[in-house]
Amino acid sequence: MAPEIPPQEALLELRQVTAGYGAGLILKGVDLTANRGEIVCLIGPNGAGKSTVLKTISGLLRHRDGSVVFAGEDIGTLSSRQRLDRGIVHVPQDRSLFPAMSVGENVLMGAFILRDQALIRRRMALVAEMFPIVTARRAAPAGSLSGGEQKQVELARSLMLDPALILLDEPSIGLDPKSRTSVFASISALAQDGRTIVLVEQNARSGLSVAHSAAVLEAGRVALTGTGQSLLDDPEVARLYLGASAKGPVPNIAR
Amino acid sequence: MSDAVLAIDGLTKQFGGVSAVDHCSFEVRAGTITALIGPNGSGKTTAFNMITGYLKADSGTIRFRDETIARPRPADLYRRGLSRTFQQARIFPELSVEENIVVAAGYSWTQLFGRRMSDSDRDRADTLLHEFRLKPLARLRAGELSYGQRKLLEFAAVLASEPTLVLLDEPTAGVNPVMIDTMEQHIRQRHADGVTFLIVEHDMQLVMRLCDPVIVLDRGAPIAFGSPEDVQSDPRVLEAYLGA
Repeated sequence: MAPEIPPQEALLELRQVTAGYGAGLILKGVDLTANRGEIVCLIGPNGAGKSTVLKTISGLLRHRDGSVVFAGEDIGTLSSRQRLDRGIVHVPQDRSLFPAMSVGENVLMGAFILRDQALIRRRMALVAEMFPIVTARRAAPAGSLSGGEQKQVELARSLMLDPALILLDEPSIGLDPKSRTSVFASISALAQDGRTIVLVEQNARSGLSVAHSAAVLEAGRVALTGTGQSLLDDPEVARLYLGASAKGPVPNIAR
Repeated sequence: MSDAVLAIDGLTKQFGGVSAVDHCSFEVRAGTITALIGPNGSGKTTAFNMITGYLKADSGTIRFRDETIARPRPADLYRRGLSRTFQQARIFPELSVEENIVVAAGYSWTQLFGRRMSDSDRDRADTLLHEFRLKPLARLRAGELSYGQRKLLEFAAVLASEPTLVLLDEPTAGVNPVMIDTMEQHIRQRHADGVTFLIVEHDMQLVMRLCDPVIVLDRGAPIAFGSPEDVQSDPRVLEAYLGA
């Protein structure tokens, strides 16, 4: 079941972006476009630069050459806080909750730039509906939750600003099969709401199947682009990036 | 003599009134690749942490190689043949990628300063690094690796040790599918050499291909145990973990 393609309107455009840490370059000229309401999935080997792409969009890392354009504005010189104001949120791969603070407090931290208490309460109710753990474990210290539970709280927190663009770095990591299914369903629902999502996924089969478009990153460059489905169907992509584990009959339970 | 390399009995741990692991008992038979699966928060990692001495159990006993381990300590257990990995890979960020493999092979890390590695140790490290596509990064500080590369390095380091029993905590999380196949080959190879594995993993295709038996935890204790086929058709497991 291929997702419907929404009207083409570029919300985010990366052109020939280079970036790195210290002396070396991790990104060596990356082009990437995300249209409004679209899910773009980035796949590729470990160390290809997928997380670094997300960091250059959210401003956690300043790119060196090329441009990052969001909603028609070159945001390359903006701080990550300014990009947050523009509606760009980033859920990183490493755990990022404050372990000693409660689940509820952590989710509230997602709205730390807002002052309107009524709005914060409304948003809180909405994200709690999407992620039941927010209510179920509201008072528990976030550090006492399992890895998979923490990931769900991080996703909930990222929605508190009602973002236009959500950068998700392996949202399904550490999630059990039931939660994984519900997280991918949530991601699709967010896009149907008109949000744009750039998704990095090693669980490439699931990532590609919810994505409108996809790019394969290899050694800091985009090696291949296409619709999510076209990459899933490409035997060469399967061999190089999806592995034998993505071939052959899938056990019933593993969907 | 039982053929269990690891046996836990009545293991319990509470966090602030919530039982993370609740009178949990199971055995890992020598020579098996046993899976420990269950929903997020069912106590899998907490059980691992108690078994390996990273967390003190409130009650219960742990037997490893027919000896009761009254006070498990990670370093003692490592020397006795119990190695593990973590969900968030724990590597030595200030050591090079290659040095991480060598310390895992049993060198004390102070030796890295005074003595050169032997050629055979370097060869073995090289082979592992090559297979996990870390060879070009061998001299890099391990702290500079990406998340997935750290997982691969930690896995390679465990293979470089001489374990009897290996506990893997979500080894494939964040790892590219092609590399998962490489991991699987290594697990099968070490298993053929006689190493026993206990694996926490959410990749059910991998679990069903690789593991037998499978233990399913829910709310801190086993709800099912058996072959992959038995477990995946067990209604309690479908309800708690796999979803309909």
